[in-house]
Amino acid sequence: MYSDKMKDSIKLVEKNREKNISVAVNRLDLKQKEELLSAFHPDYIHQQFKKLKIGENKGEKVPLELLSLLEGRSRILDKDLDLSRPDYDIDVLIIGGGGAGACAAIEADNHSSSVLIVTKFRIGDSNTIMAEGGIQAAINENDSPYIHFLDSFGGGNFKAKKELLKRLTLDAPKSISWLEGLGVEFDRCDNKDILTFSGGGISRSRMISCKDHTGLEIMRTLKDEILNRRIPFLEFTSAIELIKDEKGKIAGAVLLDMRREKLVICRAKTVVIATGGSGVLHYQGFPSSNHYGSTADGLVIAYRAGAKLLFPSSMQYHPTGALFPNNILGSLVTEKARSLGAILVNSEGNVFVHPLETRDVLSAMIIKESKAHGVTADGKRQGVWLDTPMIDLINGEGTIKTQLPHMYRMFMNLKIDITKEPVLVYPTLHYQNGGIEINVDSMSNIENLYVAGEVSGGIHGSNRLMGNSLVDTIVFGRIAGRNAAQKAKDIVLSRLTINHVEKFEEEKKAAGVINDRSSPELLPSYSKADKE
Amino acid sequence: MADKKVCIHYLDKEYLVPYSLTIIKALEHSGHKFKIGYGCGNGVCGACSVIYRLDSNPALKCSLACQKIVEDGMYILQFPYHAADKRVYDLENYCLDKNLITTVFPEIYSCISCNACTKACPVGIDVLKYINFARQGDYKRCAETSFSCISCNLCFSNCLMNIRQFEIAMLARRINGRYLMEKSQKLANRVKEIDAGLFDNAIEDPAMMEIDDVKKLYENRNFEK
Repeated sequence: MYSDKMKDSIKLVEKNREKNISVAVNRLDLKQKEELLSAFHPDYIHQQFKKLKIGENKGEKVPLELLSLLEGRSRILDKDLDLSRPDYDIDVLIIGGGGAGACAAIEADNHSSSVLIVTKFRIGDSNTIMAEGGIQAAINENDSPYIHFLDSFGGGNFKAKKELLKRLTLDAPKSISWLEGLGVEFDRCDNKDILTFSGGGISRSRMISCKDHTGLEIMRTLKDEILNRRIPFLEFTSAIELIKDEKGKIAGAVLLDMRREKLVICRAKTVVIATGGSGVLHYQGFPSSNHYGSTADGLVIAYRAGAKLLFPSSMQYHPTGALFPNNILGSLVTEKARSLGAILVNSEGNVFVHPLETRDVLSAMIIKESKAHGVTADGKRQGVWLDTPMIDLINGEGTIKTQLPHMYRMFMNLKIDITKEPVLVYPTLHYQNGGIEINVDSMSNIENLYVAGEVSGGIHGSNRLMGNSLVDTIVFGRIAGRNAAQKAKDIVLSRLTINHVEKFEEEKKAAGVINDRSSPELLPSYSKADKE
Repeated sequence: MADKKVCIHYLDKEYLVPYSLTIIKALEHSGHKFKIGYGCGNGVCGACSVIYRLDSNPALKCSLACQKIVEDGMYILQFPYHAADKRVYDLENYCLDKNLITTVFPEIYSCISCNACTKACPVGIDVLKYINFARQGDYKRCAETSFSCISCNLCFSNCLMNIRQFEIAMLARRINGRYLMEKSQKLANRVKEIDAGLFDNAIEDPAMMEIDDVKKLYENRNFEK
């Protein structure tokens, strides 16, 4: 499968392998980190960002592709909508059927609220299901929520909202118990207790996993619970605009049944936005690890309704996205591989970075190293090697097949045996660090609009650690669902309105913004017809 | 070689596509925009199950569109949706009924061991094996064998006796996770400590410190070996 040039480079990797196992590389200090990021991290390439001219974050820079959608044109502007007779009238509307949406639904259901989940594809189609390596929770005796907080706060460059991160780290162990109660099977070690290991920028053995299918195991269990409880949902139905009432409270959403091409009105006392990330917007032309639906829809409809965003320009590039062969370009190569001992080496087979630095540092380092000592894939892109054969060498034969079955199969399908050969990697657009700002009740600045999961902003600062997203979706998904359900009991809605959409369009005109791009995006433009 | 094309058929039209593309990428290349049948693109969500026949071989085959590379003369059919309900149950019933799987899925006894399920599985699971474990009441082994299941529905779709293999496996795994796996002592202890308020606003809490002190603490923290 590998070209002759690649095979020559692999020979050097193999030659150095034994030596490389014991090579010690120092982690960067904070000053070195800042210098590296400013020079090489995509978030610092200023021409790729532009200031918003309208909305709550006016004057703030966001990625060009996102700006185009945030200042885009609503899909309902020319539509004659009758809001007086909604098709659905419920307590809690949950937009998004991934991990956070599912957790919110289960908690709302526990509080006997009438719930409706709407999802652009099926329940479970999400980035959650693709998460591989693990979920963080400080359960070991030599660990504590304080250390989890410290690792995460520093890893996020000291920008996280402390109260959110505190909530996350305190609730993490209980989230694991809750998931086990639902039947999630976390890996055990020989002494039969939960297996833990470390990750990038993490000072303790805190990662808990389900082989390299942690997200799949969690998401399919949550989905099964939703189906067993018969919680109502609408699949292949997007939320294309939020609805408010005349007092400015959130009051539901305008939905689009994408199969029947019909508009549907849902009146709801509370709304939970859990629409995930924005990876398939492919900022700066990067490949992405995300699922097909990651088009920032929730950000767009919330922004149009007056939501404030936090760190909307901060994106996480996962350092090890697959680079070769082309069929898996951008696919996740889990950090767990490095937790198990695999290291990054350049075209000469030399170590150039500590393998467990934080993701922003590693991505910047790989971008830097690929320019000088990269391995060329398919004649265009350069990357570096992740020396996977080290894993079995360090931990014993069979470790890869037992602990990384998905990764093994993914490469084997393409005739690459990762127990014998290293894999080519390069940063891939992976996670939206910021999003709609939330408080510790998981609510946005819009009354009764709750937000949970990747679409929220403030928990991870400007860089998320491995395993903190899964725990974030559980912790804040549950908080959002619980709070939405409890709040809904006392809400009385006044007349429904979508005036905020027209006002937004007027604000655009006044600011001189000319942008007729329909937003939210809903589906990425991958088809050849789209590109022409 | 780079220009080599193969012929595929989709929705009554013929397309020439590069030979090395997956079905998903080949259909996008042909101008198709997916509204259904495309999920993670990575082989873990089961959204893109397809069935197909080849010019050279009329046997009905199935796979995941995001993983399967196109073949010359391929006729592709996406599932518009999966036409079945889901068998609903209460996990807690396991406490009183240790044969919960056969109670909820009595059709498991109709299995004729034809192995169509295993042949249909796109992630290489020995489905017949785990069905046998489930029938014997060995839910732990059923859970372990079925672990990589992505609920793509291809096993059920191919089963002559209408057994819902992947749903059976889901129940076995939930029983395993909740009732059969060893309880974690350290998890239980930590949850008790948190509930007792041990981590509420103590002096060593970095959330309470000045930013410069936190930065120093962060830079000097020791890493577990």
